[in-house]
Amino acid sequence: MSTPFNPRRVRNLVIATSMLVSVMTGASAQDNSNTLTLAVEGEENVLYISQVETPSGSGSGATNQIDITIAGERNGGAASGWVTDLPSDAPLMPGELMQAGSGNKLSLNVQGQNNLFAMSQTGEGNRITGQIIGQSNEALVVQNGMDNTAVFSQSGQGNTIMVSQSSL
Amino acid sequence: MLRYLLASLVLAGFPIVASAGDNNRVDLLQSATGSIGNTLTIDQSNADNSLVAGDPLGIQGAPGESPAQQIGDDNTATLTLEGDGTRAFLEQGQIGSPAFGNEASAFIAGLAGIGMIQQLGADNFASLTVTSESSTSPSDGAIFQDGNKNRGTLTVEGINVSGTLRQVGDYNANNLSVSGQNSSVEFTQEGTGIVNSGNSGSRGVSVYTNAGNVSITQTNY
Repeated sequence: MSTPFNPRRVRNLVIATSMLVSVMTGASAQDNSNTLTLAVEGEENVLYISQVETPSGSGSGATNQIDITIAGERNGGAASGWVTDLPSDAPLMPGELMQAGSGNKLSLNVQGQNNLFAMSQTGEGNRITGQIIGQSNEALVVQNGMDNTAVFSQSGQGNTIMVSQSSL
Repeated sequence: MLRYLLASLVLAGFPIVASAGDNNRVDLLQSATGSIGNTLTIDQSNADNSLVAGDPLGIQGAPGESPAQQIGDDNTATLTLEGDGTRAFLEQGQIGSPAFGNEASAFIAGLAGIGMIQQLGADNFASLTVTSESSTSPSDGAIFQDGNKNRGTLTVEGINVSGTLRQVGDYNANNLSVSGQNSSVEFTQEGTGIVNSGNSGSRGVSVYTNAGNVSITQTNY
């Protein structure tokens, strides 16, 4: 199941996906996995995406996936922005992307300037992949659990990435 | 030459911890042109067998076989790894593309920890602290700097720990502190105007160990 979305210059975009939404977008009874594909082109778009663990639990093989492509400026959560000097326990505010469960995947591709993103995964065997091209972008990655992976590439000037991984 | 040293350390010289555990990892590349640097902060606390390495785009081969990289000038990297079997490999600057004004700090605590910082360029600063308290699970820390006016601080504490500080270039300064039982130290400086006697921010070399191996080489051109 997939939810393509391609608004242009949409402001204050809030998206929350859950099992309910995934059913609405075509999930079958045999597959509780959620997949969200989001492409945004424009400026000052604010994201809030949450994928929670499916009711059948992590042992069902159900996994969540978020694929986001952003092109523009001040996307993510610039309006509420933290700018550099991120504390290690920084709350997930700007451009908050959250997944809970096991075997989840989150892919973020950003091209532009002054974009702020925060990504959180809680559970086991989760993977975050990010590629950011541009200037003055910030990304915060928080993963709690075991066997988690963060793969990140930033190209440009004045970019910041903070990664916190803990098994507690 | 440092490239080959790094490769040998990553691929062969350091043990790969394969015990069960938390196994978190970060593969990272930050690149920039110009004088505006990037900032990297990685905190892998409360996790065993965590890894900081590079090649996120899969250009050089399998991730984990190369160091995390910051390419460009005036970059800052802060790494904290607390747990057993943690490994961190960081490179600032490249052969053919030296970097200037970079700062790298890493703190690694736990059994069998491994930390390595390599800087190619000038006016760079590296600080690495590695601690371990197990006679059967030694830890290793290494700083390699190739260029002029670099500063390196390596602190290794515990039992069966190994420390390597190697600086090649002119007007480099360093602090090397190793303490613990059966510690192994390799300290090499090559160049002119090298400082390790309390000047230019250097506290010099301090080694307190029993039954350890200590190798100190200074070569003035």
